[in-house]
Amino acid sequence: MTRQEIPVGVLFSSVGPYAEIGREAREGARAAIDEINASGDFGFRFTCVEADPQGEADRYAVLAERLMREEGCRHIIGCQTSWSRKEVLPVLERHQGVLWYTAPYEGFESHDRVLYTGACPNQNVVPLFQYAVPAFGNRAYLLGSNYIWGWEVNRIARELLGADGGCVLGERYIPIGDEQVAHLIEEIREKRPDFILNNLIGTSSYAFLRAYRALGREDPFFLPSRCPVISCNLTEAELPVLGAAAEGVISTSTYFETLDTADNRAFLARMRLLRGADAQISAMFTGPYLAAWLLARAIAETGKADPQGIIARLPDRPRPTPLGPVVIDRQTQHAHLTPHIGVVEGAASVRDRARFRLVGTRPAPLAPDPYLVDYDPHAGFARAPSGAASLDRETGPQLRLVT
Amino acid sequence: MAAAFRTPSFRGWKAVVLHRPHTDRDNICRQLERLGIEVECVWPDLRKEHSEANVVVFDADMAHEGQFPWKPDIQPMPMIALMGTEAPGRVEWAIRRGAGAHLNKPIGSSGVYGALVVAQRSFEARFAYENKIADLEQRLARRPQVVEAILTLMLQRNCDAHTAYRGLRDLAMAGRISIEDAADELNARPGGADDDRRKA
Repeated sequence: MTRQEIPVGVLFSSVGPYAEIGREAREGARAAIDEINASGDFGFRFTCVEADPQGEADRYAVLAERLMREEGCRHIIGCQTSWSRKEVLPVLERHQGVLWYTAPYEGFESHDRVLYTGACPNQNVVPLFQYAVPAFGNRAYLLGSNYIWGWEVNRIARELLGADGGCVLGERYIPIGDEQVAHLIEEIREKRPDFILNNLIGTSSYAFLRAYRALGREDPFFLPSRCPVISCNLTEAELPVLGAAAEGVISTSTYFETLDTADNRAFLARMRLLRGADAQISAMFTGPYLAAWLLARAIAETGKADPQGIIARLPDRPRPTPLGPVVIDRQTQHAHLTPHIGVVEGAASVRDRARFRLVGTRPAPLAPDPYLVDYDPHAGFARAPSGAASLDRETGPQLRLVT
Repeated sequence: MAAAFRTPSFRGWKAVVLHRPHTDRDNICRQLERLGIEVECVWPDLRKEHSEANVVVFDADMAHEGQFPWKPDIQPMPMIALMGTEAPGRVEWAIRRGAGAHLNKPIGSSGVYGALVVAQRSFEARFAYENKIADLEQRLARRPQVVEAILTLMLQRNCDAHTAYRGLRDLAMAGRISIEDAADELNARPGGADDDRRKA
């Protein structure tokens, strides 16, 4: 008996300003679909139906429409910016489809037609600040690409800093794809913040990190040990293109290649067979990879690919995936996730491979809180008794230091 | 410096939804509950104790005056109207009933957070304006006393109106009271402003 073919839309940009992460995402979805089809565990096969908006926000809705209307996709794994996600929402409503949104984002959304498996603010910027403020200080410089991700993450950052008695020494935005960063560097040189929160994306972010590394060579105040760049979205996917410019950047993610778990070791071994020993695996890859697995498990459990049934029957218990069990919260349709903090090391070395050294994590996944309903930004940050140099997190209930 | 921005949070709020059983009502409730709000659905009539709710969401299509136990000029909390028809009479009624924000039907899975923020902000703004207007009206009503005090000062100090007004303002500032209160105080003294000087 031939197995039922279920078309799954894969909607990522392989060219354009954030092509590096788009290609990783597409690879992640492909890898999972191949594994699912080869596993023999399911009574159906996925057909991967790809569409490439090439980084143009307006093309996402057009292509989503095509995937749903012409290709019969009820599920789309895709979008990596909030701008593109919001473009796709009306299409999902029209066709009663589901978007599996796997990128970290700024929260304040809980759309019925979206399953959110990327980190929302209590799982990204909040834990990042719980690490960075006690370690480096509370006078920050905020940067972003000029759209909702940067605006909202920086707004939450401003609130967190204000509540801690800190301040924002500058807040600047540049258009997506803009690589003119000299004025940002000049302002940072003048303001001398404790750290820089970088919400630039893609090529703008690369241009900034390169220029900032050059600034650090001129003035040691701006070396990562004294005034680091911190980020909610830098992953391994962008380390090769960044080279030495990534050294010392601190990022939060719900997946790092360096996670030392049996599941991750087995996963990496498989992925290296598939993609070569040098391939960097990142959250941009694992997000869509896990989404495809979660979709397969959901169809297997409910017996149908019908989005309504899958949403209505989101289970309270975790669904197994190759990277461990994942729960999607029924009320908010966001995943429970474990935020980790990593610092890039080895990027400046010709021999070593750049990687994230884990400096903070949590013992268990964190329930999603997309509207920050259960989080009080004014609760302040727990500080180590011995001052800023120590990263001892024993006093803080939120993060555990990884040694 | 502007006050630090605080993410609006509705955790712990109580909402009353005045709507008959319907998917629009279910969708509203689901969105409110996601925000940590306790929801009570009511139809057809609100009760007096519902004036204690933090927000009332009402159906602007089918609800009517008789369902509200408080008068339209009393607006005890922020309100959000759910509008299907945009007939001007209904929109007008929703506004008169106190809606500070609205959502268009059919109600989907978004919009409530933004509507809550708008409704709360416009409610607070209206409350602040009303207080300010009441204060200004009260001060306006006391204009004759201010004129009387200025005339007294002009006579006693043999000065022009501008100088007399400045003198009254100085008295108000020294006593950290309003011009109107200073005028009342001055008018109440048997000898007017000179009475003060004699005592000093």
